[in-house]
Amino acid sequence: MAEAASSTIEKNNLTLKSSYGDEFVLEESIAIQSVTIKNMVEDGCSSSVIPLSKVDTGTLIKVIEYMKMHSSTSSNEEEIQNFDKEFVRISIKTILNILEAANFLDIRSLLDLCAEAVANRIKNKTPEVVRKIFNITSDFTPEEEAEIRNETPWAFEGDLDHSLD
Amino acid sequence: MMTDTFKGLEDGRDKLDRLIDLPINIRNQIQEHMTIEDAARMSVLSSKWRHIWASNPKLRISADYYRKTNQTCTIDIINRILLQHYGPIKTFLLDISMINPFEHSVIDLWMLHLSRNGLVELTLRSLEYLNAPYKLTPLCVRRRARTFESFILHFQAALQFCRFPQAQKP
Repeated sequence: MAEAASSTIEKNNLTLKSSYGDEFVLEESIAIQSVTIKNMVEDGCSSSVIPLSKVDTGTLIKVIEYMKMHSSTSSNEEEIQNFDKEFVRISIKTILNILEAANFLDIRSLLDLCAEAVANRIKNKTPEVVRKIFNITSDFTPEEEAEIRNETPWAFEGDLDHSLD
Repeated sequence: MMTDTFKGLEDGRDKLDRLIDLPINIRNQIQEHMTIEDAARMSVLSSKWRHIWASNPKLRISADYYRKTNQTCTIDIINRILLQHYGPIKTFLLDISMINPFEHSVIDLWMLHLSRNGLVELTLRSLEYLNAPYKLTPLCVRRRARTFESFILHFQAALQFCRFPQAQKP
């Protein structure tokens, strides 16, 4: 009996499928950091492949890398902090992809990490630079913009950063 | 595989202007990682960004920005921020170290205003030692406010806390 019991203790695996059709096998205990996946597992909808139609392959690889690191028992707090720091040293486009995926998958800590990374690209920058970084087109006339600036003149004081990085 | 890749490009995922398509809670979350000036500056980006900063339910007014301005100006700015804000302010953080103790009555007004607008979590802090601590009295906060009993109060400063029966509940 004891033998039978120990042999059945296998790690449950889940298969995640990206929008490009690529499949990734992941331990359930790691994957359930995603509340969306956790709910699917609890509802018994995860017996086969879990399709993630909103997450492309490259983004899914990054998300899995993050979940593996954050569920690892061998890594200490400092290692995780360093990992997080390195993790967001990527293009703003990739960060936005991961942010959207983290929102869809409901992984709170990853969402917050990406939100902070986006904020860091905006901090202390002039609006002109922020528009360039995020490809935002202004629909204000110069007069309207001046008027809006006047509502919060204190926000435009001091030395602002004109660089794109 | 190839067609899927093209699909990815065609549905606009390569465009960066996706920031505004994010749910409002995420845009708010992004702005929570900035100073209030950074968030306010985003109102000129485009009409879609115009009012985002002013509707964030978390408002943090910290000392970083006081340093650039003088005292009367500071009170005026906070008054304007509160006037410009719309929607509930659930979390409010204020660094009171740059407000002169003889002007503390203005904080009473802010507390009254906030307690009428869905405040859940209040942090008053001071980065410097205050000779005359700010007194938060029950009169400053609307009594019987529904959220009142669930106030989370953080005092990270030399503040004096007057009789506040409801808040003492565990």
